[in-house]
Amino acid sequence: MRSKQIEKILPFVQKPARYTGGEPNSVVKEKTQVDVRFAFCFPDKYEIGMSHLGMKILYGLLNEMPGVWCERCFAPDIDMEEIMRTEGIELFALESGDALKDFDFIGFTLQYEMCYTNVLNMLSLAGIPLLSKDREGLQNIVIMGGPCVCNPEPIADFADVICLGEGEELLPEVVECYRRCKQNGESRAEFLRKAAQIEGVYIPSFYEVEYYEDNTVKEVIPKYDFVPATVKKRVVADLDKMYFPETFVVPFVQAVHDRATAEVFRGCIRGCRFCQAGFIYRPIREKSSETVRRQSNTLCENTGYEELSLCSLSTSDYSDIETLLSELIDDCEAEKVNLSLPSLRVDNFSESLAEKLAKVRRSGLTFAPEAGTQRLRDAINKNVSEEELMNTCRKAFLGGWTLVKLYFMMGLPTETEEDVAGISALADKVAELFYQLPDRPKGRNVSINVSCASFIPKPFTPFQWEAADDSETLERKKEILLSANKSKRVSISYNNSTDTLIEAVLAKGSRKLCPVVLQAFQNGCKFDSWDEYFNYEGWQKAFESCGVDPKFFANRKIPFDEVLPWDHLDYSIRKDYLISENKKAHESITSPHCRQKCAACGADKLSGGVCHARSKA
Amino acid sequence: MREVRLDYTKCGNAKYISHLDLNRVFFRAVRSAHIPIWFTEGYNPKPYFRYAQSLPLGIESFCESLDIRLLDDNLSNSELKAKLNAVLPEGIEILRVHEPKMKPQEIYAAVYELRYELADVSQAAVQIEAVLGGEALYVSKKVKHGRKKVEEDVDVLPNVITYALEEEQGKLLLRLLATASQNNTLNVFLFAAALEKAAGFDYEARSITKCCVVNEMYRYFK
Repeated sequence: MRSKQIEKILPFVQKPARYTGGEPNSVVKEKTQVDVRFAFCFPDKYEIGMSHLGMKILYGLLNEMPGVWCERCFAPDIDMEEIMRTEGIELFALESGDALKDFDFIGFTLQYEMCYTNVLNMLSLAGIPLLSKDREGLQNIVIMGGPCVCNPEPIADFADVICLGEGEELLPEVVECYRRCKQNGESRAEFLRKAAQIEGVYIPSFYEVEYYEDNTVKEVIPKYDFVPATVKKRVVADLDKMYFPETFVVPFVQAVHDRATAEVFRGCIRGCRFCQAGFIYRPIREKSSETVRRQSNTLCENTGYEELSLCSLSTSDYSDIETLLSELIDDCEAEKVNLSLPSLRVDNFSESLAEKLAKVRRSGLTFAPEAGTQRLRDAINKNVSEEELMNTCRKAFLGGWTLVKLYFMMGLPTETEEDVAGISALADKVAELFYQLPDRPKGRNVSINVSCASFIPKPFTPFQWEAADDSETLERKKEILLSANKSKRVSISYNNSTDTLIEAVLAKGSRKLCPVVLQAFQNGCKFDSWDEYFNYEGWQKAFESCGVDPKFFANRKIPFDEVLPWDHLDYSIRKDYLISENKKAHESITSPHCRQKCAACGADKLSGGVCHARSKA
Repeated sequence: MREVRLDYTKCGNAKYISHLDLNRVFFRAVRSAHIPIWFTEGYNPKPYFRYAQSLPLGIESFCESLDIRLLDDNLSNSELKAKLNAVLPEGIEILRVHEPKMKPQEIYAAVYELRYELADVSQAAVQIEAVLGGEALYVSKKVKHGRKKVEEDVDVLPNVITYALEEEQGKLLLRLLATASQNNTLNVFLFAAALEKAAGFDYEARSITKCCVVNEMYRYFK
């Protein structure tokens, strides 16, 4: 039960149902029957966190374990935090209302770098020491996972345990290990030592980082002989046999993605050189269409959701897409469920499926050409041609659509002014195309929304050695972009060059950043991914007071032979493959996708040779 | 097709569900329970849900009503109740399913119970008496002036038809009969805040419960 203190403040905060729990399908267990309590924390607001599929999977998985109770916790909104701090209320988990301090595990999923200060803010609200070295006893194990932990060094001082790769098999092993330690009355140190033996577990405090005088990493050395020199990420080999929840917690307060979501496959065959997800989620592993269909229908049934979406990095590339869509469209029609589909490449579909697809209502059209010219699209290996884009838009306009969203990146390696101007030119061409069509929707105007994100080089991609553009360059490119735009029907938006810098620093940083992140938090930085809360000054001051130059991490091109801060982590992508992809980028040479030609990236080593890009080609 | 009225509670955690969110809760419950209902027939078909009143956030109620239209004539009221109660979240419970007898516009007043846990019950009772027996109690309210919305101080004492104070298991219980018609309703949440401020007491815990709604003849809304 929630305390009277919490109950008293709830009527005075915005959307209090974000803090009460009690949503359909949330799990409440009898405390006396539970010996491991896990607080699954999402370091952002409820509406964001409740949209996240990974949390739903692990929440369901942990709660299926007898004696384990997993609860949810989100970053309280600004107004809630203020009242909590003045009233002295510690951060609590939603299901029981118990303070996070009472939990065995405090788990954080790191989905984006700009949430790091929120992690610290949540720990501080919970009254848990921020630094791993200050935590004592076999309790409050701060465990982290998610895509960002492929380079966890900037937050290494705050985490006790880091889980690399997929949690479906790894997390239960860590929890069982903890349970045994607890039963035997073992210490925190003993637990960490045992956890380090589990494949995929990285205990940052067991490693020493040595630097050269120029601040580059010299070597990462295990402190003890019982810890591995490199830690391998974990993957699940067979997605059909893997746990997937039969139900989701259905939020009262509308989440950003408030719908049933079925995962179709992991990994991506495309190999776009900027895309971290395309590399760190390898190898390609598909679910069978029967599995996806069964899981979709079960979810809709158990949640009452009126909308279903499919989740993968590129659903069009699913090898059995025809069967899956055809069946799901029928299922959804029968159950009055809206099937929400991405913009699919429809060219190769059979006529009957195309007809069925036409009946599925879609809200908008979104394309991601990513770069303005073919030359640059070749360099980043984004295999979308102008012709394809125009063809799809033509079909869409004839089908009655008048809103097109185009996603681009600015600041890509090898980018010239011509490439930047090309973004505007391409958008203008799409607008022109609309007005050239004699059969366009009558009496309506077309809107082209161009969204331009700054490119940020990420670990484990062919561009990990590249520099992000500095603020001045980005600002200059924005000018070029805007002045090149001639059509009134095109609106252009882009993100701040200052948050680009911070994200770039955090993405490729070393442990030298831990004090900066801590200081930024102490300077009041939080919700850094929210424009309205982003506090650049707080970060600037943190860099200054810690004597760290952000440009060293963000804007410096790294030579191939330099030791990278994440080199002791093995995501099973061969470095020489990444280097050759990088070199090809600089020559604007494309690579065939994984089904056309296997590049022997090495990812299938982790799955016992399984890669569905080959076997299901 | 037949129209039925669902009388339900909104207690515990459910009192924090906003009216807008509540609509989704009912829609999903109806879907999970496989109850065929009538949808509006516009471009965007929506389930036909008509609420008698909307309840302010944070207030518990034992007297909420929702009208829906059933497509399945063979579904009995008791079956419908059981099916929905099996899928509705804790705190929302269908108490009765019946044919609507009154229109929501006929609602005139509501009975509320305000329970306070505080240090000195009898002193707070005296303070409340003084405020409610006084000249006026102003709350700041958004009022429409034509199209404009402006903040205005409104006296809410005329909305209080009658009240009673008593001590109940160490708590202070204020029973309130107040207007709750469409054009003249007491926002009990604003009322409570103004009362607490004017009477000058603080509490450890407070609950506000809407117990029943009545028409002008003081008959229960059915």
